Amino acid sequence: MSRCSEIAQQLSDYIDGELDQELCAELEKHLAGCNNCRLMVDNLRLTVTLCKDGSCDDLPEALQQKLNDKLAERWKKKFGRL
Amino acid sequence: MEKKKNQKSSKSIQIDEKKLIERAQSGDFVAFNTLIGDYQGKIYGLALKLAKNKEDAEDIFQETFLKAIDNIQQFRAESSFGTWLYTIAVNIVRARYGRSREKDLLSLEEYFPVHQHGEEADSSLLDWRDPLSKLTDAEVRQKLDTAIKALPLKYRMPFLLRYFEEMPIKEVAKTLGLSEAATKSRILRARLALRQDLNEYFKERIVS
Repeated sequence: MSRCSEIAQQLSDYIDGELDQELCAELEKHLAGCNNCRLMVDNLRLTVTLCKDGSCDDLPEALQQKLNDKLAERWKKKFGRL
Repeated sequence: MEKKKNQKSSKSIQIDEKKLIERAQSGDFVAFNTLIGDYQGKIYGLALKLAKNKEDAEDIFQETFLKAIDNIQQFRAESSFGTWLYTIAVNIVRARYGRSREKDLLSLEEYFPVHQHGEEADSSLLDWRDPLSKLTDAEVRQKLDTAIKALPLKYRMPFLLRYFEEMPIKEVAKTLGLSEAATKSRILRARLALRQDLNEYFKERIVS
């Protein structure tokens, strides 16, 4: 795995800690000697970290209530009771 | 010991879920509400990221749980209840937007900057620590949301299920009806596309 383009396929597994030990050691050996690939890996790792940090969408109370009413109505229609 | 305890608690959750499903299938509304309780916020968050606007997201969110009622008696526990709900949600999204023509992403190789092993830093690669330290969290979040929304649906769905819903690859593949290899490839291309988009943005911000 000495060519930079060859590591592309393994990147997600490597960053997510799912690459098998042997391939992982090979990839790390490559990264140790290649600044560009190391930057690429850092950027890709940060992409997901940033996404996870930014994910927060609270369910509005009014929508929750609207859903509860619709579910109760649909349930009664299907099962004839609540 | 800890592992055994965890296995036991995960088993008891499965048994509880099984009992709740049986009760819901015989018409117990309280059991159904308990089953969907943990997923309401998650499905809403996912719908917001998959829908074209807030109104659509609200429709997708509500339709998911209404469809779950319609089909609860057909649920055969071949997947977890959660995976089943996500499958319903993504199928609603596909039915709504599946026909829209979207530009495909580049191939893996095209996202990977051409450089020689060990050479000096490629100008298309940027150390993000510097721009990130200069931008506010809100700015980065807004850019990220726009970048995620710009991903074609077939890449956005597996990416979101994997990293926002934190599903294992196997479950993402099952939810979307894809092979694990195809799922992995789509997630990687989504990740590379997002990296490229953010990289361009950071570069512009540094220059300005």
